[in-house]
Amino acid sequence: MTLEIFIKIAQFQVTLAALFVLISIVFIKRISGETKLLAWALLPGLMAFFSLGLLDLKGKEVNVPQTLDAIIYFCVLTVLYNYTLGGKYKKWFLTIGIFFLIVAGVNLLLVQQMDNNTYTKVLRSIFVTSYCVVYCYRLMADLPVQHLHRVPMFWYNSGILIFNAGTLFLFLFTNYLVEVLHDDLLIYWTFHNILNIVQVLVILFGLWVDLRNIKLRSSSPSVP
Amino acid sequence: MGGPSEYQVALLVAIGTVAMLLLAIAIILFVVFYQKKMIQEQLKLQKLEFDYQQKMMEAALESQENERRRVAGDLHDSIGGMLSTIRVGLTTLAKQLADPQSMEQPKQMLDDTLNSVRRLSLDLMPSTLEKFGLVQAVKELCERFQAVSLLPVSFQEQGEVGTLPQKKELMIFRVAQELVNNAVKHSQATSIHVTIRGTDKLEMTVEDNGVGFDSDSLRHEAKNGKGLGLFNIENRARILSAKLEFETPESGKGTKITMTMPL
Repeated sequence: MTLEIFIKIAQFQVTLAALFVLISIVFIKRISGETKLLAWALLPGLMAFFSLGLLDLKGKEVNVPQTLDAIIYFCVLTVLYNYTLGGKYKKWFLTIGIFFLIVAGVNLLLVQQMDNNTYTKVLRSIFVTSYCVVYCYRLMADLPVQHLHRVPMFWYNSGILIFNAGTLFLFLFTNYLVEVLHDDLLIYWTFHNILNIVQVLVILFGLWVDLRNIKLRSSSPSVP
Repeated sequence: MGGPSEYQVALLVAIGTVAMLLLAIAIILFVVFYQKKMIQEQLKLQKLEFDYQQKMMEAALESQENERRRVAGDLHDSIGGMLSTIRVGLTTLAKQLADPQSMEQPKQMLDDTLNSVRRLSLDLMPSTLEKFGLVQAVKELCERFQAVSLLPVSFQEQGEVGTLPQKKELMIFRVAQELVNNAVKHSQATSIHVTIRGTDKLEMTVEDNGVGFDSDSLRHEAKNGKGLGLFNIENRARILSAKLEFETPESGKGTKITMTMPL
């Protein structure tokens, strides 16, 4: 694994996320609320990626934007799941959100500070995976639609679940990987980026479903 | 004792990650298949409920028809017979009276009553339907409505309408009866036209030039106990697997109701 390949994969991942955000902005008036929120969740990641080069050139700490991205990503996803579950678990989401913000704040200010805030990311992965499982449970309990593959949120949830479940162990052992297995770090982080690519690809498919639903709705008034 | 080796940690990360990924994929697949199965079960249940309701409806309509048949038989054979006997008695009595003309008025009233009983009996159970089939029965129905309402109720047969099972013919006849009755009673029409077409499917149209009506509001009324006629028509159409269409004719005035059923 060379650094060039690693960077190319990272750039590809960012391009896909940027594509999602761009399409969402173009169709902002017609897309569903879930898509809008997801675009807001992915936007800070893009900004964090572009700020890396800038901060590096100025000799500043590069981990802070990544940490802020993790916090914003989590907060927006909490709002997204609360919205998509119709506020059924509002108190839970609020409690988890506040708890996460406190832990992330304490970690950023007192514990890991300028280092990669892996504890925050571990917590984020656990909570987001739980959100995904709750959403799946509600899908099975409520049976809201006949064809799941026509629901954009089902695809968004699948992408988010795959990424957060897949990266949980990576974030759990990040400190060890950085300190001990630093020679293989590029491999591990490429795997992380590939999972991110999978996440955004599945999310992009969900966006396509959302846009197709709009088209169907406008061409036939009877389509729900 | 030393801590875990680098290899062991790398293995743990790999196994943990793969396990989590597999778990995530398993959850997604489970949701998809479970949801699919539950929806299928739900559809099956709905179909069963629909079949049950259909059977209940059929049974209700059948018992209604049996009751009508019984009442029609009683009216025709029992009351009609007795009235005929009374008429013969009156005629005999009139011959014995000094002024036989004085019995003419009661005899006329008795004749009117007899006619009413026969008409009622025919409405309840048309013998023409059993003897000559649907087309003749609907034709006779139109003639009777025309005679009673003094409105031109025309009938037209297009194509060849074959013989259908008696139960089906009776249901189609009842639909026609209800539709023509509605047109006569409520449409304020000056003419009514009934058409039966038979090709690969049976199509019956009742068209009038009256004031028209809103089928949706009538359906709403049926829920409140009013407008049961339309409710009964729709029930019968459902049992016949027929399609009902309510539209405004090309002239832009009146109502055109078409019932189409596969043969």
